[in-house]
Amino acid sequence: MADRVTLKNIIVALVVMGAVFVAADLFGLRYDKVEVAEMPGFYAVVSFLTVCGTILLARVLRPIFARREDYYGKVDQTEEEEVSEDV
Amino acid sequence: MFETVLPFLMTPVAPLFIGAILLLFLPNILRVLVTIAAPAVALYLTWNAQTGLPISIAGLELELMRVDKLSTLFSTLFSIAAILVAIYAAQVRDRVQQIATMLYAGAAIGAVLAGDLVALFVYWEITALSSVFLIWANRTNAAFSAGMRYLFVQVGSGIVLVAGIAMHYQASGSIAFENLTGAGPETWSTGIWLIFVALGVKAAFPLLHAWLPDAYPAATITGTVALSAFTTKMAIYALARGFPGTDLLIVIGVVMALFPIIFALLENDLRRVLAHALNSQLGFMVVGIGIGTQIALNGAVAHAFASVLYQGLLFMTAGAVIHRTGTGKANELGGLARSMPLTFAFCIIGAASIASVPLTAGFSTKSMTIEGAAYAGQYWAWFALYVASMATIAHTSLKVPYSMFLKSGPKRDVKDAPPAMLLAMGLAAAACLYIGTAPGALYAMLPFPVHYEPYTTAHVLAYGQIILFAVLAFMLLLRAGLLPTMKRETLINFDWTYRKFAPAIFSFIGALVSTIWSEIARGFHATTSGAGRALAAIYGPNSVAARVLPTGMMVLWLAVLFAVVLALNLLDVR
Repeated sequence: MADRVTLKNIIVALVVMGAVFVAADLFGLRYDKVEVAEMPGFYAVVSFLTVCGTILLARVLRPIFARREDYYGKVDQTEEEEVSEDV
Repeated sequence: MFETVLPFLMTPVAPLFIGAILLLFLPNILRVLVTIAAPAVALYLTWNAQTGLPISIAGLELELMRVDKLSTLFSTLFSIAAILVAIYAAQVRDRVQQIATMLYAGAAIGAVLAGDLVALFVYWEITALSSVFLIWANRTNAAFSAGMRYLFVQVGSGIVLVAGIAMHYQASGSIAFENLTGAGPETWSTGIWLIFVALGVKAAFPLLHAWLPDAYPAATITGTVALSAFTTKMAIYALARGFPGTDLLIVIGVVMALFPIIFALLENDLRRVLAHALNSQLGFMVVGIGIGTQIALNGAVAHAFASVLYQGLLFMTAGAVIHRTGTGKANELGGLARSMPLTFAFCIIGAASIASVPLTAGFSTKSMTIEGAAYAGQYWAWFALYVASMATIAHTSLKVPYSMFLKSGPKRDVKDAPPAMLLAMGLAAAACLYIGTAPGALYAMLPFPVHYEPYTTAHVLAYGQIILFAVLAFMLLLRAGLLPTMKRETLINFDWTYRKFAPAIFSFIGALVSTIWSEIARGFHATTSGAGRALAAIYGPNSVAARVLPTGMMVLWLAVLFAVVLALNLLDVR
């Protein structure tokens, strides 16, 4: 997946499919209960901006929330090695 | 005695509680059968239950069974969840976990069937006391501490609840668990406020929520799956029963849906990411309850039903990965799609469900709440829920499967999950797809008649746009290297207040008091020792008073004294 070519192909496919869904709006295939959402591509734009916005905001806010792993005390490295011996 | 026990034996709680007792004595293979069979019997009893099984304890009439559409739906949900957890945990031989899960599921079922507030409280406390063993069963210091914090919060909510019930009873003379919201928060008595806060703790309202992401990832692999199903949904049931149409819940729910987003995006521990996502999903349900219209309440309840399944499924897949690799941290995982293909496929179904992809459970349930907000004219809530829904695609639907299965990671030669785990995940995934493709069966169980059709062209197009462009944004940021880096760190949340701030305040106050005390003691000591020295100077062994004077000196002084007296006499100074 880290493969950049695969990633590029996925992005191209998403752009094409997204364009089809937005085009459907232009042909009046989508109505909405909320007036502003009647705008063609409304959900596409909001969704794109939300994901970009929240991820970038998270990066900006990280220094406020992030602390060293042992901030609350010593970290138990074996905390998740349960069950394995039970089986 | 018999009159008290007999009605209880007819409730769906009984097979689980009796099963828990049997687990004490049975060998492992039979224990597994009991853990699966008992909730199945509970499911049967739920569907063949009758309202009204009053019992009398210490002069108090309690109603153990209130059977209506709302309680039946939740009891059905909890029975199904208990069956899935039991199958998932079939390879676990830990008796403690098996018994705790049975009691926990039984108490949760009892709570949603309880006809009055006292019965609700009793089951409420049993869920707290039994579920903590699912955390302690990890048998590490971290799990013990997390369990203690969890127990403190959960039992605390129980104390607030019982105080609220007592005050409400004093004010109204009733312990009936009916609609408590009345004409809104302005008219609530203190008792009702306390009940509301107690439910808020269990439902993980903002600022009361920190126990959830703290405790869930600390539990055992199977324990987390059980925890994700019962406690919070029990609170959602109680809110839907007691506080439908409370405007305040709309605000609370919106904050709940949005607040965990940043944490879920930054968090490295994938089970904690899912706990944040669960918290956000609860926000949708709380908004639906707050709106209180038929479609919104139906949406909230349907969403609760679906989210137990897809959230449980996601926790199961994360658990399977931890089981095989020994870690649930995003920075230590990756590349498992080839070695764990079935787990990967189930994870994708869970991820699609929480993203509301058409044909999955989220599409036919979560969207009902959002539509309900639009129908009720709550446009800002409608928009906020859409934003939360879109962000969920990034922090859960994409991040979780990407981190575990798709991104490059350390090379591991692991097998797919054990058969029992795969079976449970398969059943949960099938249920997600069934609710997505044929929502009619779930809609028929909802409290109100459903006039909602999820599969309209407009609806599918809208969700198509949402999903495609959310994925596109994620992929572009991934390509640009702008996704938050995953590394081992601690994200401070509201539990900081009682894990750092409160201890710091207490230790500051302690240090202050101790300094003041030692200063007072020092001053007192200085004063007393000064006085002691002064007295010692006069009366001590080497003092003037103790000095041994020669007799001649004494005579001399007497002569002086006489001379003075004589002089005064002669001068006649009277």
